[in-house]
Amino acid sequence: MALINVKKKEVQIKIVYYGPGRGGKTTNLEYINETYQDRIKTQMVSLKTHDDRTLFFDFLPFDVGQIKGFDVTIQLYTVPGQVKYNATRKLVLRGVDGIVFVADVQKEQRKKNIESLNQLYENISTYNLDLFEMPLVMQYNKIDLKQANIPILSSQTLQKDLNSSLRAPAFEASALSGGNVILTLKKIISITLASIQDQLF
Amino acid sequence: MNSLTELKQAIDSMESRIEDIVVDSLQQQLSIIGEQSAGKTAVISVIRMMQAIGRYLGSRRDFADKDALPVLNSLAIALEKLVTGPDLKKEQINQTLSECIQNYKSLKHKIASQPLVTDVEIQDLKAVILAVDWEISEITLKTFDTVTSRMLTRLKSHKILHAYLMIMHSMGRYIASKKAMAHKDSLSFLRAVFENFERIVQMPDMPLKEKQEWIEKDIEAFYNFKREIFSSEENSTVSIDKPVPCDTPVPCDTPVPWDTIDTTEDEIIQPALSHVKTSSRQVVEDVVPLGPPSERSVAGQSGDAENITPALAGRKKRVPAPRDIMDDLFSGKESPADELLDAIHLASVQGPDQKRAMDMNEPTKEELQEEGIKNFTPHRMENEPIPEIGDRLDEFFNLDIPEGNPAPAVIEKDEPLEVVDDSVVSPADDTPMETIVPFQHEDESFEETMVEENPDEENIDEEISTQTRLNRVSSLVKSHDGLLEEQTAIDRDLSYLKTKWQDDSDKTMLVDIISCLLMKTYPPASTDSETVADETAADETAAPIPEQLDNHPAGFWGKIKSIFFKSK
Repeated sequence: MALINVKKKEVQIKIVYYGPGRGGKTTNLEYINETYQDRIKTQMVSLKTHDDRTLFFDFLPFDVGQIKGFDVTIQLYTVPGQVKYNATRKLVLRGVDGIVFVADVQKEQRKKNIESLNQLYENISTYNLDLFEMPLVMQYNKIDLKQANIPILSSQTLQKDLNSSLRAPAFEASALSGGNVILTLKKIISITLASIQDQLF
Repeated sequence: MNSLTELKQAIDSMESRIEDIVVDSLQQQLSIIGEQSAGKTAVISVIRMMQAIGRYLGSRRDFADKDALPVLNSLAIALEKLVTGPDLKKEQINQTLSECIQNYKSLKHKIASQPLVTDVEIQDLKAVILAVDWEISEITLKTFDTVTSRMLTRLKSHKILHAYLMIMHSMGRYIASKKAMAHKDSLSFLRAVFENFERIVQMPDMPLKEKQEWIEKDIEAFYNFKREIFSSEENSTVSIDKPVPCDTPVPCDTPVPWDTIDTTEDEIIQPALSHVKTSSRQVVEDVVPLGPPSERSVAGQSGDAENITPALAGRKKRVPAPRDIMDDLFSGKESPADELLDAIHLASVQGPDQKRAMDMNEPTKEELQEEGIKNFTPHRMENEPIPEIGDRLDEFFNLDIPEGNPAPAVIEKDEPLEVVDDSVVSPADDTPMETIVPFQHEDESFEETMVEENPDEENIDEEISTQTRLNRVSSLVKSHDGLLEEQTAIDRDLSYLKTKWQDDSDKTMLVDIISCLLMKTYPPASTDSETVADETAADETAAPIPEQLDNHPAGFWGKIKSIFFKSK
């Protein structure tokens, strides 16, 4: 839930990057952190296992400045993608305001994408939230693998698999090179703020 | 008895339609009666039979055996008799119970002996396949789709039969999309699959393992057939690897033609959330494509791409300092991340205390209100963000650097400007090389920023600095006899060169020789020499660049040359 401090004129929203393991959630945050380091000014918290996988979560907070007199703070989180950490994923989702679902476009990851999204729906439901009503953006990551002749799923298939009922905005992306990472971020912040703007601005 | 009345009402309402709510009500009333009749064996037995029939009805609903409800009704009557009957003798109780058991068993036997697929269904399916074989038309294909879809729904829980139906349904969709252009073996393959399906249905005693082998073979044949189709149509139809035009909305509700979906696993995989619901939203937003790097527009700003350093491309691998998790638990909380970390650790979230973890650190509404905080749960809506949101985000994520306003990381107000050394007397003074800040005088923050932004820059800087220093030493030595003013600068440059070339003994020896010779040319050291040097250096910044260096009398450089080339 978005926290709005009326006295101090502050707004805080929590965005969670969710998706199957090794899909590029952490890479998204790393790109954002690297590219805007001088503006973000805070330290990215990232706890990883010895094989460079997210153990608990990644955390990157930053202020985007004032909108209509309100200081807007964004908190970006990722969840651990590994199947065994679902309880942690649930905890990270607590109080979520917007979700970026990072899908892996590799053909062999097709089932995992679907399973992960189904699980996201279940996890969100434990907080009495409806994924169909949440601010949500789809990101089809690793699109650049096509150039390396690695079989990837077409965007149409991904839309059919993941977005046919949700119908959220979707972006092809390459988090490693930064392609569409910022557009994805801007979109999720934008629709999340838009969803509370009537109460706020 | 209230529960008995409600039980009867539930059974009566099942006559018209079996719904979850009614089945739940039935089970609930049975549980209540069971609790009230604790110790009465006959009553408990009847209740168990009724519960089993209730579960069966709940799972099969309209497809349930037509005798199930009458049997349930008879059991309800017997139950009422057993519960409310005054002073029933033991023989009467046993007789009632044995009748109930007989009814229940006969129903169970009937259900078990029923074929999973009725003869009528098999005949229907056979008929539509033959119809499609005879004529591929909209009507025959639509009928085929209706029959297979109905059977798919009904046999969802029977995996083998369901898989057969999936294959047939898939083939039907392919034929529907290609019609007369469909592969010539499509129909014969469809018939072959149907024959195997029919055999399995008509041989209920076939061992499960054998059924599995059959379906595995047919699935493999299905994939092989698909590959064959794709290989034969590769040049003439849309390849699955061909990029999908992202500006075309994806018609989510219409069947996707065979040749636009993936070759592997396509039909077997159910889309995400298909078990939940379909959205009522009408707007289908396109996938925003990722263009080639040169065309990318990051942050919505055209022309930004060139200024963006690719993520991770220019960074050093930073090894985060190890965190002692247990220490973190007892330290002061600084951010929501710390609190979340504590929740994860303290609650042993993978264990039985997950619910406790969910509730941890959750401020109450009252607490939030006291602090003047309101919380809203955002809901995705169709409303457009107000312009200020877009403007703010554009501004924040804009990487464009305005002209004449270099990146703040490079310009430091407190930078020791004197070390830029404008006093360098060189024809190359106006080249960019000369504006590089000497390495040892850069402040650390500047150095870090530069290194992180582009690690190669450091090497370039060093290379330039080395060249600059050589030029500077050469120029100073050539242009001055006394060398008093440049003593500090030359010493510094020589010291740098010596460090730089420390692995090359020849070069360091030459630098040593130069240093020694210079020492001999210096005037006797005075206590205020440094002050003088600084002052003169400052004056030197205003000194004009000598235009004709060759006209100067032979300086120190000439003297060194004369040492080495004396014999010539």
